[in-house]
Amino acid sequence: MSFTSQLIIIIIHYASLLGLLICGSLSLIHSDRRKKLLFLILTFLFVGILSFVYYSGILVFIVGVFVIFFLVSLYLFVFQIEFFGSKTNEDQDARNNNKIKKTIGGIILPVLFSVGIGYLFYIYTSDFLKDTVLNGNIYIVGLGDISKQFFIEYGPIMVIVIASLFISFLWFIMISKD
Amino acid sequence: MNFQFIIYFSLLVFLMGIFGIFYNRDIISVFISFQFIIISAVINFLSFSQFLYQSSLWDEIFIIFGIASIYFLMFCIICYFYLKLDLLDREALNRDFILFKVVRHDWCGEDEM
Amino acid sequence: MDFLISISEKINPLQSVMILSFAIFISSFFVMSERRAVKRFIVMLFSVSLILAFYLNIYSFVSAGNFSNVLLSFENLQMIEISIIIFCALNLIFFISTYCRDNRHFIKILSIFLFSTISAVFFVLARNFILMFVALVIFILVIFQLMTVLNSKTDRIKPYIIGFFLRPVLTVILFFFGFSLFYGATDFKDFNQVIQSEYVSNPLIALGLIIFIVAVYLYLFLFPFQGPYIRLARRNEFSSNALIWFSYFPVGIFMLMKLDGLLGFFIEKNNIYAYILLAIAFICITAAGIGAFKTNSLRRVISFLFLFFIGVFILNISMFSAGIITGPLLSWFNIGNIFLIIFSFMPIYSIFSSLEKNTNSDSIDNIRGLGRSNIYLGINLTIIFLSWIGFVHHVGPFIKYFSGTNLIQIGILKLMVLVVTAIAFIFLLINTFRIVIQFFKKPLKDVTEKIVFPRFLYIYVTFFSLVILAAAVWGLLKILNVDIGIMNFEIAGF
Repeated sequence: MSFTSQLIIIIIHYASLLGLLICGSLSLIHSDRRKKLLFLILTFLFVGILSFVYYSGILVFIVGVFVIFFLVSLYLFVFQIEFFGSKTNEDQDARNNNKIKKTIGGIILPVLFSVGIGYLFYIYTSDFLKDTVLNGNIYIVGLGDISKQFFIEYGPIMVIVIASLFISFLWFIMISKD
Repeated sequence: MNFQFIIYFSLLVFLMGIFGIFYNRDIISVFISFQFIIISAVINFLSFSQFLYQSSLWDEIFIIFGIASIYFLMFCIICYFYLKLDLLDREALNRDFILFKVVRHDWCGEDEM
Repeated sequence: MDFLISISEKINPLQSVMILSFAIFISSFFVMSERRAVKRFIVMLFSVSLILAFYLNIYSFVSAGNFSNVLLSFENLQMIEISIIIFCALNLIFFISTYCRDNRHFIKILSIFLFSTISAVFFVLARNFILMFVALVIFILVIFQLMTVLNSKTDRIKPYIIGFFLRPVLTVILFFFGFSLFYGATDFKDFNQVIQSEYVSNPLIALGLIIFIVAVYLYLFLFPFQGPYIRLARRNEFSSNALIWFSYFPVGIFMLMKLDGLLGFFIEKNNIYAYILLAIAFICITAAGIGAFKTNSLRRVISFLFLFFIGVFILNISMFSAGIITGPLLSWFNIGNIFLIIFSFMPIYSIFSSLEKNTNSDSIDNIRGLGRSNIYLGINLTIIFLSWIGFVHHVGPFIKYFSGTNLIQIGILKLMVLVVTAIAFIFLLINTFRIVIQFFKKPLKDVTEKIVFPRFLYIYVTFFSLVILAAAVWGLLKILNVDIGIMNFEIAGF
């Protein structure tokens, strides 16, 4: 691979990681639910770009369907309630209460807990990750390879997943009728 | 591309998810926090496959099956939440679904129904 | 006959799954029906298919022996676990038929329930990580769907169901993350290969295992995060409570048993895990024991006692980690504990739910005087509750340490495990006798007159009492070293 293309891949890689981090943080911190979901969709967009960088772009097309379907349905659900739902004073009070509840204690403890877990992870793995021997070869996965593996080795799993779809269809009928 | 950096980055995303689970209360925010743990696992799979193994399809297949099944489960939960909701009930979105709450009557005594 | 045997060999070890799938396929022609005769036919069909699946499961192991391929592994332990799942499913058909027979979606509910049994069987059989993960997610999904449908008439239950199921969703997401860490250490695709490989001491495997243990901990709603489970159990419809206790929790326990081998490896390397497990076992057992004692709601009593027995599983692992029992004995203790739970909680809950349905209250006063007003059920329930004293077999492995040795010399960890075991036994006795004494107190007049038990319940409870009595006699004969020919049946080879 030429130096230029390698450089481009590295730039895209770090840019997508940065984008992921920024959009993810905004999604976590923002108070408006619709904006949270929009930033989450952007985060997944950067994850998609990252999968191309890791030579697994085919995943974007297979897996992206499920993720986008879920996120769009979540967004529409939130949008419908926030747009059509009645605005009440209790809604405003709930927001104020949420702000008061998210005090220093509410933020510091989760931060400390997360930092603690991160530190333990770092102590455990720093030596191992330094010594890891890396494989320099590139192999781009195609849809044909994946489907061949599916049907040769993982056929029963496909059967279970499809059966669960049929069963869930029954459930959807029951839930919507009730 | 620095392998160690990528792994620590995915750990950072995982910790963001863990932070979100403890910090957030309403159901949408909790689901958003779950997404970060999934993203961090996907980055792990892809980076390990790229840097450590050659022509291993196992991680892609795991990601496909894993994401399909997890997202279907989450979709059914959201569907149930939505279908059984009064559309004018905006308070439903603010309802407390905090995952780790310690309340006295969960330990002893009676629960007020 | 030869044709059937050849088909059975080809589909080994999925004979039970095929039978259940065939039953679901037949029921799919009747899903929209609401006629009583059709409902009875479907219940009979599913019961017969479960009995046939139970038989085929054992027959396939006995005739074909162990089986292993890329996806599945079928050995002694899997055969027992699948038998437990199918037996629980048969009893859950009874609960669902009793309490949801008039539901217009009854046949659909049963079809979905049978599919959850199939997913649980796949989870137990799974050797490959992908199959294990997908089967677990599908199982949780189907249980969620069942709970929502069974509780469709229950008021204001929705937030509690969602609050409950957010936890297993986090479990499967943590499993996904844990498997990604395993992949970083090695590309082996099942736990046995990982344990036997040179990569097992890799720090990513250790971290992955910690993530798995945390995930199972969350799945089982252990203390101090038991809230959603306790709250849901109090408000749930009867058969969906039975679903949590006899379907959801057993799969969690089998999940924990899948991790035993890997856990054993790391515990041998570092004692700190043993102390952590012991602390978790102590908290579960103590908090559950106190919680069960301090409440007057029968549902909460059973919910806490269930968590108590799950704490006993962790206590078993602590005994193994302290070196008090060996690996094979740990499996026996776990299987014995599962049998204790199933054979006691099923009849107990069948009676208590019937009481609650009659009196519209789950107060402990409902069972007051039950031994006097209904002597037959009182005696059966007393036998079933007293079977919990069988927990004393946990003290057995400690006896070898007290023959002529100083207590301090056996080591601080073993002493702590002994203390926790003794505390567990005391709490169990307190709760057992608290309930049994209620049976023989003076009855509250206006409560006991209202209670009418279905006839089938008498047969149901008698079956379990007879099994418990037979097990007690067998245990006594073994202790006294009396050898009777038919009693030599043992499942060996752990």
